[in-house]
Amino acid sequence: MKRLLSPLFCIGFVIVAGCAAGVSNEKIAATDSSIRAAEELGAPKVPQASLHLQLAKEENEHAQKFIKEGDTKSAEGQLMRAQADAELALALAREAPMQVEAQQEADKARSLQQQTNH
Amino acid sequence: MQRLVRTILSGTMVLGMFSVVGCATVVPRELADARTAYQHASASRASDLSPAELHKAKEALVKAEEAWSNDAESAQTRDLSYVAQRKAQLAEAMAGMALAKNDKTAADQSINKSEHTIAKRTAGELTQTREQLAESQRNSAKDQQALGTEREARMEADKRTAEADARAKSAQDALAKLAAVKEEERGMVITLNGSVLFPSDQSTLLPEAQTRLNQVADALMATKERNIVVEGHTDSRGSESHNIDLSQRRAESVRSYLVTRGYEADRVQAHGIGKGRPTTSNDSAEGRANNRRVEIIVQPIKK
Repeated sequence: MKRLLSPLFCIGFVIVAGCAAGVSNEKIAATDSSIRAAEELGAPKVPQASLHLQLAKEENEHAQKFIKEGDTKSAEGQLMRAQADAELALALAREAPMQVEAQQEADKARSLQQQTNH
Repeated sequence: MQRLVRTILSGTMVLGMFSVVGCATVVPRELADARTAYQHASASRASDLSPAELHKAKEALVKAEEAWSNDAESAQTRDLSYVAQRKAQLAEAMAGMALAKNDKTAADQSINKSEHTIAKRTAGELTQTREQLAESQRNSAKDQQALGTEREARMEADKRTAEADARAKSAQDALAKLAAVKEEERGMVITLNGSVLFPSDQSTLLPEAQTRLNQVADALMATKERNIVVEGHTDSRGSESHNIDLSQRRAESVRSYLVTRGYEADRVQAHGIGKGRPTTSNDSAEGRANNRRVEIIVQPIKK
């Protein structure tokens, strides 16, 4: 009997543990990583990127709160949002200096073009 | 372009399909925003500049629409819609990056081209300036040379003039010892007494006159660049015509003699004045002797 109960107990424990764990560490780590990347690439200095970075941080905090409360579903939803906002912040942070640089080069090209026409 | 149209149509179909399915229920704000964002992205350059990201946005929207059709009011529907909206915005941001990169590449190429053109033009201008400078230096050297030549010529002319003046002065001094010499407005006038030169009423030079004329001629040779007028004068005795004729022949005799001594014929003229211009009264024998004379006028150089 003991031999029979022991594996069942183990299986039940795993199921319970899985449910309790809820949100995978990979998802949490991926979100944190995306937020850090956006910060490091200058999102706080670009207004639109800064807004989405802020949203990502808030959503991540909500996710942590839901994780603590054991509300896995809500936590995952907030993590998804946080991840999406962090990725958008990162892209906007990269786009802004590229546009500035392109504009500066275009201005320089125009100025030189005028010089060649004279 | 076809790709853009295809993308828009595809997006519209997705939206249309789910709109029909979910028309009975209220569309959550997140899903409405996601649909708008995707439509906006589809119509933008994202379709050709960031198609992979746009496709991900489309897949995210499909998921959100499915969630909505399964459970219109669930939190998951709103979360997936929110993510779909962000994916569409991300596709546009990626397109913006690609566009900026393309613009920068084009600008860089234009800059390179312009810089090349400017460098080429500058090099051409530099060459032209150098050529102009060299030409200017050559002209300056020529000018200097011409100036030097002109200065030398002027100095040479001044020297010749000074030498001629010195010779004239020397000749004048020599002549003063041989005959009466005086400076008049018409030039230097050398007066030779007629009785010393010719027998009475004749125009052939006396032998002793030739010796004297030799000395006069030698002195005049120092001023051979000047024109000479030989004038014959008589006293008041005899007729006017006879005196004119005699004075002309005497002037011619002196002229011929000077020419034989080397004076240029073109530079010597002979005039017979007759008794018309006496220097003193013809009443006395001495006065008449003084009036019988030959005057050699050395004319000044016309400047």
